[in-house]
Amino acid sequence: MTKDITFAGLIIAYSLLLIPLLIFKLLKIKLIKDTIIAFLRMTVQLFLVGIYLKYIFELDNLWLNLAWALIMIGVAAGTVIRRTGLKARIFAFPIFLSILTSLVLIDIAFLGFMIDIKYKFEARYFIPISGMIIGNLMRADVMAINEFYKKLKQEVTLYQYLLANGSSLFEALLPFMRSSIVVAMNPLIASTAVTGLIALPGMMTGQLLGGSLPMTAIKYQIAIIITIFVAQVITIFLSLIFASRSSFDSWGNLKDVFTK
Amino acid sequence: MIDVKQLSINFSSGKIIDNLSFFVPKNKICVIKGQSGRGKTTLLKTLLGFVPNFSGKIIINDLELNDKNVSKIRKITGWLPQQTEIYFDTVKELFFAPFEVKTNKKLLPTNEQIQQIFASLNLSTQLLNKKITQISGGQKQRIALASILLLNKPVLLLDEPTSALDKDNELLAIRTIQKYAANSTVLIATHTSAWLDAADLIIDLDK
Repeated sequence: MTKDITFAGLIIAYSLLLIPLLIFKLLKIKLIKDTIIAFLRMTVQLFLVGIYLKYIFELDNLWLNLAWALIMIGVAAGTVIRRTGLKARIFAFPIFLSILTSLVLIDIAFLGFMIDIKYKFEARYFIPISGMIIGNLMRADVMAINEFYKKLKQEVTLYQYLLANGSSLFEALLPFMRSSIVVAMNPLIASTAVTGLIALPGMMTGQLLGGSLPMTAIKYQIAIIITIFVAQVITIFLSLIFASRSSFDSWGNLKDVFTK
Repeated sequence: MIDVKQLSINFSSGKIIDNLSFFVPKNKICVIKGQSGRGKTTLLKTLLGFVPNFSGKIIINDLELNDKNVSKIRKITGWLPQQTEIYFDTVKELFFAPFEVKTNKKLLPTNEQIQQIFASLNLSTQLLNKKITQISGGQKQRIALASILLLNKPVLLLDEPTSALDKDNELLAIRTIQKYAANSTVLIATHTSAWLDAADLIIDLDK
Protein backbone atom coordinates (compact mmCIF):
# COMPACT_ATOMS: atom_id res chain seq x y z
CA MET A 1 0.00 0.00 0.00
CA THR A 2 1.29 3.49 -0.85
CA LYS A 3 2.24 5.76 2.06
CA ASP A 4 -0.44 8.38 2.40
CA ILE A 5 0.37 12.07 2.09
CA THR A 6 -0.58 13.82 5.31
CA PHE A 7 -2.49 17.08 5.48
CA ALA A 8 0.77 18.79 6.49
CA GLY A 9 2.47 17.24 3.46
CA LEU A 10 -0.17 18.72 1.16
CA ILE A 11 0.25 22.12 2.81
CA ILE A 12 3.98 21.92 2.02
CA ALA A 13 3.13 21.02 -1.61
CA TYR A 14 0.84 24.05 -1.90
CA SER A 15 3.40 26.32 -0.27
CA LEU A 16 5.88 25.38 -3.01
CA LEU A 17 3.56 27.26 -5.37
CA LEU A 18 4.63 30.47 -3.66
CA ILE A 19 7.97 30.22 -5.52
CA PRO A 20 6.55 30.45 -9.07
CA LEU A 21 3.98 33.01 -7.89
CA LEU A 22 6.79 35.14 -6.47
CA ILE A 23 8.72 34.87 -9.73
CA PHE A 24 5.60 35.90 -11.67
CA LYS A 25 5.19 38.89 -9.38
CA LEU A 26 8.84 39.91 -9.62
CA LEU A 27 8.83 39.71 -13.42
CA LYS A 28 5.33 41.23 -13.62
CA ILE A 29 4.03 38.21 -15.52
CA LYS A 30 0.24 38.23 -15.71
CA LEU A 31 -0.20 34.60 -14.71
CA ILE A 32 -0.80 34.92 -10.98
CA LYS A 33 -4.60 34.99 -11.10
CA ASP A 34 -4.76 32.20 -13.71
CA THR A 35 -2.36 30.04 -11.68
CA ILE A 36 -4.31 30.43 -8.46
CA ILE A 37 -7.64 29.72 -10.20
CA ALA A 38 -6.16 26.69 -12.04
CA PHE A 39 -4.78 25.12 -8.85
CA LEU A 40 -7.95 25.81 -6.89
CA ARG A 41 -10.01 24.20 -9.67
CA MET A 42 -7.62 21.26 -9.84
CA THR A 43 -7.90 20.68 -6.08
CA VAL A 44 -11.70 20.83 -5.98
CA GLN A 45 -12.07 18.70 -9.12
CA LEU A 46 -9.65 16.01 -7.94
CA PHE A 47 -11.23 15.73 -4.51
CA LEU A 48 -14.69 15.49 -6.09
CA VAL A 49 -13.43 12.86 -8.52
CA GLY A 50 -11.74 11.05 -5.62
CA ILE A 51 -15.04 10.88 -3.76
CA TYR A 52 -16.90 9.90 -6.92
CA LEU A 53 -14.37 7.24 -7.93
CA LYS A 54 -14.52 5.73 -4.45
CA TYR A 55 -18.24 5.06 -4.94
CA ILE A 56 -17.86 4.04 -8.59
CA PHE A 57 -15.16 1.52 -7.66
CA GLU A 58 -17.29 0.15 -4.83
CA LEU A 59 -20.46 -0.12 -6.91
CA ASP A 60 -18.60 -1.26 -10.07
CA ASN A 61 -21.80 -1.15 -12.11
CA LEU A 62 -21.49 -1.63 -15.91
CA TRP A 63 -23.96 1.13 -16.83
CA LEU A 64 -22.49 3.57 -14.35
CA ASN A 65 -18.99 2.87 -15.72
CA LEU A 66 -20.14 3.36 -19.30
CA ALA A 67 -22.00 6.55 -18.37
CA TRP A 68 -18.83 7.86 -16.70
CA ALA A 69 -16.80 7.12 -19.84
CA LEU A 70 -19.40 8.91 -21.99
CA ILE A 71 -19.25 11.93 -19.68
CA MET A 72 -15.45 11.96 -20.00
CA ILE A 73 -15.76 11.86 -23.82
CA GLY A 74 -18.35 14.65 -23.74
CA VAL A 75 -16.14 16.84 -21.57
CA ALA A 76 -13.14 16.10 -23.84
CA ALA A 77 -15.13 16.96 -27.00
CA GLY A 78 -16.33 20.16 -25.34
CA THR A 79 -12.77 21.06 -24.38
CA VAL A 80 -11.53 20.45 -27.93
CA ILE A 81 -14.31 22.70 -29.31
CA ARG A 82 -13.60 25.44 -26.76
CA ARG A 83 -9.83 25.41 -27.22
CA THR A 84 -9.97 25.36 -31.00
CA GLY A 85 -12.62 28.11 -31.15
CA LEU A 86 -14.69 26.07 -33.59
CA LYS A 87 -18.47 26.26 -33.83
CA ALA A 88 -20.02 23.63 -31.55
CA ARG A 89 -23.07 23.35 -33.84
CA ILE A 90 -20.87 21.99 -36.65
CA PHE A 91 -18.15 20.15 -34.76
CA ALA A 92 -19.53 18.79 -31.46
CA PHE A 93 -20.88 15.57 -32.92
CA PRO A 94 -17.95 14.75 -35.30
CA ILE A 95 -15.40 15.25 -32.53
CA PHE A 96 -17.45 13.31 -29.96
CA LEU A 97 -17.82 10.48 -32.47
CA SER A 98 -14.11 10.38 -33.32
CA ILE A 99 -13.08 10.22 -29.63
CA LEU A 100 -15.74 7.58 -28.92
CA THR A 101 -14.68 5.39 -31.88
CA SER A 102 -11.02 5.65 -30.98
CA LEU A 103 -11.68 4.85 -27.30
CA VAL A 104 -13.86 1.84 -28.12
CA LEU A 105 -11.13 0.39 -30.37
CA ILE A 106 -8.36 1.02 -27.87
CA ASP A 107 -10.34 -0.24 -24.86
CA ILE A 108 -11.20 -3.44 -26.74
CA ALA A 109 -7.50 -3.99 -27.44
CA PHE A 110 -6.22 -2.95 -24.01
CA LEU A 111 -8.84 -4.31 -21.64
CA GLY A 112 -10.02 -7.10 -23.90
CA PHE A 113 -6.74 -8.62 -24.93
CA MET A 114 -3.65 -6.95 -23.49
CA ILE A 115 -4.30 -7.34 -19.79
CA ASP A 116 -5.70 -10.44 -18.20
CA ILE A 117 -8.82 -9.38 -16.33
CA LYS A 118 -11.99 -11.43 -16.13
CA TYR A 119 -14.51 -8.58 -16.04
CA LYS A 120 -13.53 -6.23 -18.85
CA PHE A 121 -15.42 -3.22 -17.53
CA GLU A 122 -13.99 -3.45 -14.01
CA ALA A 123 -14.08 0.14 -12.81
CA ARG A 124 -10.52 0.30 -11.44
CA TYR A 125 -9.12 -0.59 -14.87
CA PHE A 126 -11.75 0.69 -17.30
CA ILE A 127 -12.12 4.19 -15.87
CA PRO A 128 -8.50 5.27 -15.23
CA ILE A 129 -7.22 3.76 -18.47
CA SER A 130 -10.02 5.31 -20.53
CA GLY A 131 -9.47 8.60 -18.72
CA MET A 132 -5.74 8.59 -19.39
CA ILE A 133 -6.26 7.84 -23.07
CA ILE A 134 -8.96 10.51 -23.46
CA GLY A 135 -6.83 13.10 -21.64
CA ASN A 136 -3.87 12.47 -23.91
CA LEU A 137 -5.71 12.29 -27.21
CA MET A 138 -7.57 15.50 -26.40
CA ARG A 139 -4.34 17.55 -26.40
CA ALA A 140 -3.21 16.07 -29.72
CA ASP A 141 -6.67 16.55 -31.24
CA VAL A 142 -6.68 20.25 -30.29
CA MET A 143 -3.25 20.73 -31.91
CA ALA A 144 -4.22 18.86 -35.07
CA ILE A 145 -7.55 20.59 -35.59
CA ASN A 146 -6.05 24.01 -34.87
CA GLU A 147 -3.27 23.45 -37.39
CA PHE A 148 -5.63 21.99 -40.00
CA TYR A 149 -8.11 24.88 -40.06
CA LYS A 150 -5.50 27.58 -39.50
CA LYS A 151 -3.48 26.34 -42.46
CA LEU A 152 -6.55 25.80 -44.59
CA LYS A 153 -7.54 29.43 -44.06
CA GLN A 154 -4.01 30.74 -44.67
CA GLU A 155 -3.32 28.58 -47.70
CA VAL A 156 -6.77 28.50 -49.22
CA THR A 157 -5.26 29.07 -52.69
CA LEU A 158 -3.39 25.76 -52.47
CA TYR A 159 -6.64 23.99 -51.56
CA GLN A 160 -8.43 25.72 -54.44
CA TYR A 161 -5.50 25.06 -56.81
CA LEU A 162 -5.76 21.31 -56.23
CA LEU A 163 -9.55 21.35 -56.41
CA ALA A 164 -9.67 23.45 -59.61
CA ASN A 165 -7.18 21.12 -61.27
CA GLY A 166 -9.29 18.02 -60.77
CA SER A 167 -8.68 16.72 -57.26
CA SER A 168 -11.41 15.37 -55.01
CA LEU A 169 -12.19 17.13 -51.72
CA PHE A 170 -10.16 14.50 -49.85
CA GLU A 171 -7.16 14.89 -52.18
CA ALA A 172 -7.26 18.68 -51.85
CA LEU A 173 -7.30 18.34 -48.06
CA LEU A 174 -4.42 15.85 -47.91
CA PRO A 175 -1.57 18.42 -47.61
CA PHE A 176 -3.41 20.02 -44.69
CA MET A 177 -4.10 16.67 -43.02
CA ARG A 178 -0.44 15.71 -43.38
CA SER A 179 0.87 18.87 -41.78
CA SER A 180 -1.67 18.81 -38.95
CA ILE A 181 -0.83 15.19 -38.08
CA VAL A 182 2.90 16.02 -38.13
CA VAL A 183 2.39 18.99 -35.78
CA ALA A 184 0.16 17.02 -33.41
CA MET A 185 2.19 13.80 -33.30
CA ASN A 186 5.71 15.23 -33.13
CA PRO A 187 5.64 15.92 -29.36
CA LEU A 188 4.65 12.34 -28.49
CA ILE A 189 7.18 10.83 -30.92
CA ALA A 190 9.90 13.02 -29.40
CA SER A 191 8.94 12.21 -25.81
CA THR A 192 8.56 8.48 -26.59
CA ALA A 193 12.12 8.43 -27.95
CA VAL A 194 13.52 9.63 -24.61
CA THR A 195 11.13 7.82 -22.26
CA GLY A 196 13.06 6.46 -19.30
CA LEU A 197 16.16 8.50 -20.12
CA ILE A 198 14.98 11.90 -18.99
CA ALA A 199 12.08 11.11 -16.73
CA LEU A 200 9.98 8.22 -15.60
CA PRO A 201 6.45 8.58 -16.95
CA GLY A 202 3.70 9.54 -14.49
CA MET A 203 1.77 6.32 -14.71
CA MET A 204 4.84 4.18 -14.09
CA THR A 205 5.92 6.31 -11.17
CA GLY A 206 2.42 5.98 -9.74
CA GLN A 207 2.50 2.23 -10.06
CA LEU A 208 5.94 1.98 -8.44
CA LEU A 209 4.79 4.17 -5.55
CA GLY A 210 1.70 1.96 -5.32
CA GLY A 211 3.88 -1.09 -4.78
CA SER A 212 3.91 -2.68 -8.26
CA LEU A 213 6.95 -4.62 -9.41
CA PRO A 214 9.21 -2.53 -11.70
CA MET A 215 8.70 -4.97 -14.62
CA THR A 216 4.91 -4.80 -14.24
CA ALA A 217 5.05 -1.00 -14.17
CA ILE A 218 7.29 -0.98 -17.25
CA LYS A 219 5.03 -3.32 -19.22
CA TYR A 220 1.99 -1.21 -18.34
CA GLN A 221 3.86 1.91 -19.36
CA ILE A 222 4.87 0.43 -22.72
CA ALA A 223 1.30 -0.69 -23.37
CA ILE A 224 -0.13 2.68 -22.40
CA ILE A 225 2.33 4.71 -24.52
CA ILE A 226 1.56 2.56 -27.54
CA THR A 227 -2.18 2.79 -27.02
CA ILE A 228 -2.04 6.55 -26.45
CA PHE A 229 -0.05 6.93 -29.67
CA VAL A 230 -2.47 4.76 -31.63
CA ALA A 231 -5.49 6.47 -30.05
CA GLN A 232 -4.13 9.90 -30.94
CA VAL A 233 -3.54 9.03 -34.59
CA ILE A 234 -6.96 7.36 -34.94
CA THR A 235 -8.76 10.25 -33.22
CA ILE A 236 -6.99 12.92 -35.24
CA PHE A 237 -7.61 11.08 -38.49
CA LEU A 238 -11.29 10.50 -37.70
CA SER A 239 -11.77 14.04 -36.34
CA LEU A 240 -10.39 15.53 -39.54
CA ILE A 241 -12.44 13.22 -41.74
CA PHE A 242 -15.69 13.60 -39.76
CA ALA A 243 -15.21 17.34 -39.22
CA SER A 244 -14.34 18.07 -42.83
CA ARG A 245 -17.59 16.43 -43.97
CA SER A 246 -19.47 19.28 -42.34
CA SER A 247 -16.94 22.09 -42.80
CA PHE A 248 -17.51 22.75 -46.49
CA ASP A 249 -20.52 24.09 -48.36
CA SER A 250 -22.01 22.36 -51.39
CA TRP A 251 -19.47 24.18 -53.61
CA GLY A 252 -16.54 22.74 -51.65
CA ASN A 253 -15.70 26.08 -50.05
CA LEU A 254 -14.72 26.23 -46.37
CA LYS A 255 -17.61 27.45 -44.21
CA ASP A 256 -17.16 30.01 -41.48
CA VAL A 257 -16.12 27.42 -38.90
CA PHE A 258 -14.76 29.61 -36.12
CA THR A 259 -16.87 31.29 -33.47
CA LYS A 260 -14.86 34.52 -33.75
CA MET B 1 -16.59 27.36 -74.45
CA ILE B 2 -17.32 29.85 -71.72
CA ASP B 3 -20.62 31.70 -71.68
CA VAL B 4 -21.09 34.40 -69.05
CA LYS B 5 -24.40 36.23 -68.87
CA GLN B 6 -25.17 39.31 -66.78
CA LEU B 7 -22.65 38.39 -64.12
CA SER B 8 -22.50 40.54 -61.01
CA ILE B 9 -20.32 39.83 -58.00
CA ASN B 10 -20.91 41.65 -54.74
CA PHE B 11 -18.70 41.64 -51.70
CA SER B 12 -19.47 43.44 -48.46
CA SER B 13 -16.84 45.98 -49.57
CA GLY B 14 -18.77 46.74 -52.77
CA LYS B 15 -19.55 45.54 -56.28
CA ILE B 16 -16.55 43.84 -57.91
CA ILE B 17 -18.10 42.90 -61.24
CA ASP B 18 -21.25 44.59 -62.55
CA ASN B 19 -23.48 43.01 -65.19
CA LEU B 20 -20.67 41.46 -67.26
CA SER B 21 -21.54 39.29 -70.28
CA PHE B 22 -19.14 37.61 -72.71
CA PHE B 23 -18.80 34.48 -74.78
CA VAL B 24 -15.55 32.66 -75.53
CA PRO B 25 -15.98 30.09 -78.32
CA LYS B 26 -14.34 26.67 -78.08
CA ASN B 27 -10.53 26.64 -78.46
CA LYS B 28 -10.18 30.43 -78.50
CA ILE B 29 -7.97 32.59 -76.31
CA CYS B 30 -9.68 35.37 -74.39
CA VAL B 31 -7.70 37.98 -72.50
CA ILE B 32 -9.24 39.79 -69.55
CA LYS B 33 -7.38 43.02 -69.06
CA GLY B 34 -7.68 45.62 -66.39
CA GLN B 35 -5.76 47.39 -63.68
CA SER B 36 -5.17 45.78 -60.28
CA GLY B 37 -8.30 45.54 -58.19
CA ARG B 38 -10.68 45.43 -61.16
CA GLY B 39 -11.77 41.88 -60.34
CA LYS B 40 -9.77 39.77 -62.83
CA THR B 41 -8.75 37.17 -60.23
CA THR B 42 -12.23 37.24 -58.67
CA LEU B 43 -13.75 36.59 -62.09
CA LEU B 44 -11.55 33.50 -62.66
CA LYS B 45 -12.30 32.24 -59.15
CA THR B 46 -16.00 32.76 -59.74
CA LEU B 47 -15.86 30.64 -62.90
CA LEU B 48 -14.33 27.88 -60.77
CA GLY B 49 -17.05 28.07 -58.11
CA PHE B 50 -14.93 29.65 -55.39
CA VAL B 51 -17.14 32.75 -55.21
CA PRO B 52 -20.62 31.20 -55.10
CA ASN B 53 -22.56 34.37 -54.18
CA PHE B 54 -22.71 35.72 -57.75
CA SER B 55 -25.77 36.62 -59.77
CA GLY B 56 -26.17 35.83 -63.45
CA LYS B 57 -25.43 32.71 -65.44
CA ILE B 58 -22.15 30.94 -66.17
CA ILE B 59 -21.93 28.04 -68.63
CA ILE B 60 -18.67 26.18 -69.19
CA ASN B 61 -18.62 23.51 -71.91
CA ASP B 62 -22.40 23.09 -71.72
CA LEU B 63 -22.37 22.77 -67.94
CA GLU B 64 -24.11 25.49 -65.97
CA LEU B 65 -22.08 26.52 -62.95
CA ASN B 66 -23.98 25.55 -59.82
CA ASP B 67 -23.27 23.44 -56.75
CA LYS B 68 -24.38 20.28 -58.57
CA ASN B 69 -22.05 20.75 -61.55
CA VAL B 70 -19.10 22.47 -59.91
CA SER B 71 -17.05 19.31 -59.35
CA LYS B 72 -17.66 18.22 -62.98
CA ILE B 73 -16.49 21.63 -64.17
CA ARG B 74 -13.36 21.43 -61.99
CA LYS B 75 -12.51 18.13 -63.69
CA ILE B 76 -12.31 19.83 -67.09
CA THR B 77 -10.46 22.96 -65.99
CA GLY B 78 -6.84 23.80 -65.44
CA TRP B 79 -6.21 26.81 -63.20
CA LEU B 80 -2.96 28.65 -62.70
CA PRO B 81 -3.32 31.07 -59.79
CA GLN B 82 -0.75 33.73 -58.98
CA GLN B 83 2.17 32.55 -56.84
CA THR B 84 1.36 28.85 -56.79
CA GLU B 85 4.95 28.08 -55.85
CA ILE B 86 4.79 29.44 -52.30
CA TYR B 87 3.10 26.25 -51.13
CA PHE B 88 5.83 23.87 -52.26
CA ASP B 89 9.33 23.13 -50.97
CA THR B 90 10.83 21.68 -54.13
CA VAL B 91 10.49 22.36 -57.84
CA LYS B 92 9.56 18.72 -58.38
CA GLU B 93 6.63 19.05 -55.95
CA LEU B 94 5.44 22.21 -57.70
CA PHE B 95 5.63 20.62 -61.15
CA PHE B 96 4.12 17.23 -60.31
CA ALA B 97 1.43 18.30 -57.76
CA PRO B 98 -1.45 18.40 -60.30
CA PHE B 99 -0.50 14.93 -61.61
CA GLU B 100 -0.75 13.33 -58.15
CA VAL B 101 -4.50 13.77 -58.31
CA LYS B 102 -6.33 10.55 -59.23
CA THR B 103 -8.16 12.12 -62.22
CA ASN B 104 -4.85 13.35 -63.69
CA LYS B 105 -2.62 10.33 -62.99
CA LYS B 106 -3.00 9.06 -66.56
CA LEU B 107 -1.84 12.44 -67.83
CA LEU B 108 1.57 12.13 -66.15
CA PRO B 109 3.98 13.49 -68.79
CA THR B 110 6.89 11.47 -70.16
CA ASN B 111 10.45 12.74 -69.81
CA GLU B 112 10.36 13.70 -73.47
CA GLN B 113 7.19 15.76 -73.04
CA ILE B 114 8.73 17.51 -70.04
CA GLN B 115 11.92 18.26 -71.97
CA GLN B 116 9.94 19.65 -74.92
CA ILE B 117 7.79 22.02 -72.90
CA PHE B 118 10.75 23.12 -70.76
CA ALA B 119 12.75 23.89 -73.92
CA SER B 120 9.80 25.77 -75.33
CA LEU B 121 9.73 27.93 -72.18
CA ASN B 122 13.52 28.39 -72.13
CA LEU B 123 13.89 26.26 -68.99
CA SER B 124 16.39 23.54 -68.09
CA THR B 125 15.02 20.26 -66.73
CA GLN B 126 17.88 20.40 -64.20
CA LEU B 127 15.71 22.87 -62.31
CA LEU B 128 13.51 19.95 -61.26
CA ASN B 129 16.22 18.88 -58.82
CA LYS B 130 16.30 22.20 -57.03
CA LYS B 131 14.51 23.67 -54.05
CA ILE B 132 11.92 26.36 -54.71
CA THR B 133 14.09 28.93 -52.92
CA GLN B 134 16.97 28.24 -55.32
CA ILE B 135 15.20 29.39 -58.49
CA SER B 136 13.97 32.79 -59.69
CA GLY B 137 10.39 34.06 -59.68
CA GLY B 138 10.21 33.85 -63.47
CA GLN B 139 11.41 30.24 -63.47
CA LYS B 140 8.82 29.27 -60.84
CA GLN B 141 6.09 30.89 -62.89
CA ARG B 142 7.08 29.07 -66.09
CA ILE B 143 7.36 25.69 -64.30
CA ALA B 144 3.88 26.07 -62.82
CA LEU B 145 2.61 27.08 -66.28
CA ALA B 146 4.27 24.04 -67.92
CA SER B 147 2.58 21.76 -65.42
CA ILE B 148 -0.90 23.21 -66.07
CA LEU B 149 -0.44 23.14 -69.87
CA LEU B 150 0.53 19.45 -69.78
CA LEU B 151 -2.73 18.66 -68.00
CA ASN B 152 -4.29 19.22 -71.41
CA LYS B 153 -7.65 20.33 -69.99
CA PRO B 154 -10.44 21.60 -72.28
CA VAL B 155 -10.68 24.88 -70.34
CA LEU B 156 -7.69 26.82 -69.01
CA LEU B 157 -7.89 29.75 -66.61
CA LEU B 158 -4.52 31.50 -66.23
CA ASP B 159 -4.07 34.31 -63.73
CA GLU B 160 -1.21 36.65 -64.68
CA PRO B 161 0.84 33.75 -66.14
CA THR B 162 3.68 35.97 -67.38
CA SER B 163 3.80 38.75 -64.78
CA ALA B 164 7.30 37.81 -63.54
CA LEU B 165 8.84 37.38 -67.02
CA ASP B 166 11.02 39.65 -69.14
CA LYS B 167 9.90 40.54 -72.68
CA ASP B 168 11.70 37.64 -74.43
CA ASN B 169 10.52 34.97 -72.03
CA GLU B 170 7.03 36.43 -72.02
CA LEU B 171 6.89 36.03 -75.81
CA LEU B 172 8.09 32.42 -75.51
CA ALA B 173 5.43 31.75 -72.86
CA ILE B 174 2.72 33.22 -75.09
CA ARG B 175 3.82 31.02 -78.03
CA THR B 176 3.97 27.95 -75.77
CA ILE B 177 0.44 28.60 -74.50
CA GLN B 178 -0.80 29.05 -78.08
CA LYS B 179 0.82 25.76 -79.09
CA TYR B 180 -0.09 23.60 -76.10
CA ALA B 181 -3.56 25.05 -75.55
CA ALA B 182 -4.59 24.90 -79.22
CA ASN B 183 -7.38 22.50 -78.23
CA SER B 184 -8.45 24.37 -75.12
CA THR B 185 -10.60 27.37 -74.40
CA VAL B 186 -8.28 29.77 -72.59
CA LEU B 187 -9.09 32.69 -70.32
CA ILE B 188 -6.10 34.81 -69.34
CA ALA B 189 -6.19 37.55 -66.71
CA THR B 190 -3.38 40.03 -67.30
CA HIS B 191 -2.45 43.66 -67.02
CA THR B 192 0.39 43.49 -69.58
CA SER B 193 -0.16 44.52 -73.19
CA ALA B 194 2.01 41.74 -74.66
CA TRP B 195 -0.98 39.42 -74.68
CA LEU B 196 -3.23 41.64 -76.77
CA ASP B 197 -1.88 40.43 -80.14
CA ALA B 198 -2.25 36.77 -79.16
CA ALA B 199 -5.86 37.08 -78.06
CA ASP B 200 -8.88 36.10 -80.13
CA LEU B 201 -11.03 38.14 -77.80
CA ILE B 202 -10.33 40.90 -75.27
CA ILE B 203 -12.48 41.85 -72.28
CA ASP B 204 -11.51 45.15 -70.75
CA LEU B 205 -12.64 45.45 -67.13
CA ASP B 206 -11.46 49.06 -66.99
CA LYS B 207 -14.30 50.12 -69.27
